[in-house]
Amino acid sequence: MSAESTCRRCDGPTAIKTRQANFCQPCFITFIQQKQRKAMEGCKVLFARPGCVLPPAINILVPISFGQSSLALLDMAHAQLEEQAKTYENAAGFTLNAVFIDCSEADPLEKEPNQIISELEKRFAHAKFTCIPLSKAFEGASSVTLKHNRDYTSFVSGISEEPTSVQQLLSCIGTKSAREDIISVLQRHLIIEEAKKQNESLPTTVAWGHNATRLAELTLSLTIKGRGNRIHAQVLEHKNPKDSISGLPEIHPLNDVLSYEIPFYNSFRNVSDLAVDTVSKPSQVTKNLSIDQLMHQYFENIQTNFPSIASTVVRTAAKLDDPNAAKQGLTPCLICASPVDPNQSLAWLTNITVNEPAAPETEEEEELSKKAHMEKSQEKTGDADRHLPVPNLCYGCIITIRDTDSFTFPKRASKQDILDEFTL
Amino acid sequence: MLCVLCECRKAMLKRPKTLQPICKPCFYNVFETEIHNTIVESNLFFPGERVAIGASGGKDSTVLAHVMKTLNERYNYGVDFVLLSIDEGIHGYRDDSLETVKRNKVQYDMDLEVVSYSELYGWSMDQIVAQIGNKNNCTYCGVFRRQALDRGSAKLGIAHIVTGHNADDMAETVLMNLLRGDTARLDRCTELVTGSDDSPVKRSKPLKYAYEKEIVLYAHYKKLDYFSTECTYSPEAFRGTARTLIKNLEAIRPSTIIDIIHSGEAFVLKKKKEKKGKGSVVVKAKVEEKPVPSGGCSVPLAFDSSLGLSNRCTKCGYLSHNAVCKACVLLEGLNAGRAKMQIEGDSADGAAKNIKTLEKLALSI
Repeated sequence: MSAESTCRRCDGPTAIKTRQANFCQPCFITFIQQKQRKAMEGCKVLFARPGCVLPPAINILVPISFGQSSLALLDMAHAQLEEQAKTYENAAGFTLNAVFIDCSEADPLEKEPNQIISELEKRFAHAKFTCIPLSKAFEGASSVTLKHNRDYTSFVSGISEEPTSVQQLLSCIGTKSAREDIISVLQRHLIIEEAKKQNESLPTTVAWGHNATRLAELTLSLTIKGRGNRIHAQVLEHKNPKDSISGLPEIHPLNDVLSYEIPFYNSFRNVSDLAVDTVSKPSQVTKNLSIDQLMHQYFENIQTNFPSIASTVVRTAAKLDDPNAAKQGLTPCLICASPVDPNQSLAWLTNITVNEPAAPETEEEEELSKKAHMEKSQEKTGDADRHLPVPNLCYGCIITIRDTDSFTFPKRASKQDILDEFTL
Repeated sequence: MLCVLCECRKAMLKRPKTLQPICKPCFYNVFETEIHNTIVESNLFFPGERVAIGASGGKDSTVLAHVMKTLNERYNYGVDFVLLSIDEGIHGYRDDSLETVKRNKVQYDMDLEVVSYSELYGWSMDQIVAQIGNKNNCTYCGVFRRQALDRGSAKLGIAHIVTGHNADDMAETVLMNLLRGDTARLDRCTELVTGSDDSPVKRSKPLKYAYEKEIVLYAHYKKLDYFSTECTYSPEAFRGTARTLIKNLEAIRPSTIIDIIHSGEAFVLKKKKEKKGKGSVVVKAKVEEKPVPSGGCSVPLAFDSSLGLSNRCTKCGYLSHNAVCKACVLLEGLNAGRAKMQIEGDSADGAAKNIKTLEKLALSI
């Protein structure tokens, strides 16, 4: 066999050619797993003294979507546990919790979530699985209905003690991009809530399964949605909980693995068949895609000609700082809870998107304009909800709710809300 | 259908930024007011200031010149605008667009200064392309244009150039900087006024929030006289993908372009330790500009290597961090190969001219 077609490390048969090198199956698995092990350095088995193993001091929470990437991370973490159990007689350096946010009500999967989880439980015996329905985000929360004006301002048109439902929420969202945006906000919220719950019994680290290409897509789609200030929170690793907005360590063990490498890893490890896709497939017409879908397509296409592009974007994003770090007086956005400088985004928007008409020129125009004005002021007085508070929204959420007619969202009582209400 | 803004005139167009159906007078009003807001928000001009408009004869700079004149009269900025054009020497492209600028000079009653590459560097773009081929020629053109604009304004005694960069260009730059990993520019690329650490002339982009499509509509409805051909030496392929991406995104959600700019404005880089070196250069450049306080306007210093100032190019006296500035380095490379070139004959027409001739041939058949 010529040198070109054998593995760079062991001269075995080449199974994948990537990063300008040939790898055989075992060497590729090791190569990828080492990246994950390095990211999870703190997950080693602890000893009180030689021969005396301590119980795990860390909990790893892996959010799973049943996609290829999170499945690969789950397999890697699980392989690490298996190895630890084998080497040190049933010892473990960490506990492994896989959390699935069930969005099938909004976006059905090809299989029933419970069925998939029972298959995963068989394959990954050392991991615990939790399935949280998306509707949990609405439980016990009152609901707020928002409406937007012709300009970018919006107002609360009603607050109800009755929780809203997933169907109700999604039915009022007009575009795929806005729908996707809102679902991802809720998903992230539920994952972090679950992680905080688990953190109470054992220090928890959230290990996201995003690969480098996915992180690059996320960086660009956050930028495109006007959420550039969230890149620091969502794309960067925060090993120190103090830097993390969620207050928990968040890591991306696959941030150096490219999207096309993941299916190879999964097939070499015989876990590919466990991945499940959603029923709906992206449209063939560019105009009908969502922003995330378009970004996914962009990177899949450009990666063939410019293979280093995803890692370039991830490295660039890593240089960004939290833009709100030094700012005072920020309040959480009503929808996504990210810190907002009240009115700043709105002022910026209204300054560059003017809605003032040009003055009427003829008498006829003057008449019509007066009439329209009268009708409007009558409408205003008829609107009894005017006294309700002005919602505090971040830029990204202002843009998102413009894609809705009226938008009913669960109002989550924050710790501060409760304190404000009950402290005397 | 009535215009949603004034509710008294017939809607004539769907506004690209918001998709609102509006009438022409309201469109002119919102378009111009947004640019005015951008100018006022950052105190872009001061009364009595002389400002050069970088004019190429294309739609962006023609609309810029028209709107600047309109706003200057409407809101009494008290600014004296001058047109400044660069003649890169691309036959079939720049010679025609320069004719447009010359007509604009009359239409807008402004002075016009033309700086040509062949005068300044002894090379026209056509000659450069003939020598180096179709690769990297945007690098030459970009480096040379930057210096030519500075030298042009120095000649006019002007310290402020406004350029016609629009919102689409800004959004494209934000995405390109992310995709190429250009961290040095990442947090600064969306600034309205770009700094003067490597140029004595302040540059600003009053159209930075104006959509390209709205500029086209404005020029069309106002029947502005502009030249609409892209440079025939086409840009790099990678930038093309970012451009297509923006157009696709705009079709999905029209606000995308300003959303990207908003994100770009929120980018803050983590602090670096090596920043000290860079900071001191900035200070130096500013100190040198200071001793010309007459009338509140700092007139750029002449670019003369004999002044013996630090951080100047030893060959041409242009501002440079290195001993020799980028333009001189590029020129040296070009001049080294000039002898070979001249044997080929005196015709220096470039590809643009040839294509134009071919187009005409095809039409006459």
